[in-house]
Amino acid sequence: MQLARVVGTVVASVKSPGLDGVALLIVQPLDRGLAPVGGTVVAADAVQMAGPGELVYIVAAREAALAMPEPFVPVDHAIVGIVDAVTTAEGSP
Amino acid sequence: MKLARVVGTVTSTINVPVYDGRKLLLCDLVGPDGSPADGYLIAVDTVGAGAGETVLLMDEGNSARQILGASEAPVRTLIVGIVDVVEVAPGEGQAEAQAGAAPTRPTRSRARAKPGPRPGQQASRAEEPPRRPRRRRLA
Repeated sequence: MQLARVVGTVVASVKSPGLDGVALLIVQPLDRGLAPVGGTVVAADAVQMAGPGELVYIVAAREAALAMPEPFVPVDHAIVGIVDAVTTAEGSP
Repeated sequence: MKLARVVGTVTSTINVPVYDGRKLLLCDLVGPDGSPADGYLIAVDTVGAGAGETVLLMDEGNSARQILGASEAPVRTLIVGIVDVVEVAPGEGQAEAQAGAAPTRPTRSRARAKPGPRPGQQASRAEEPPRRPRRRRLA
């Protein structure tokens, strides 16, 4: 799992069956100092509460689809939690 | 499996149900010598690891779900062990091993809180008398 920031939303009216009603959000993966790393990806919102600007954690690969109500869907990144706090020895980033 | 060092915690109240009541730890990946490798992972703690400890990460979904007993959980990364010593065979990066002997040997003297569920094979660890750390040679 990795930290990410929600930076936008995707609206798609034509989707694969099983993705109906699933919110798709653009997320920017972050390093542990909360600096952007790599490019943005589209993630399915499994908690159904994330919105732009929020710090979340995402799970990738096959595990992402398991977070969805229907586990056999073409999803490779999913938001599985909204972060309240990240605490390290150096303090919160 | 990967070696990592626990550097912090992640808390969340809104999450997928499988994470309810589980401790999420921020882990920096490290090499055999304890030096930072590229990247980090957020892992579910199953052994009671704490900040500063070198741990064994399993980054594979099927194994993770099997250990948690949750066959359809969106979980991939678990902390499955606390590393005592990493020993690298002579001639296979000996310099790194010696340089990193100290950082990969966490202090084990303090009493450890055990908040999370523990795999059965580690349940009796606290009752065992102190002994020399088991050394594992990496081929």
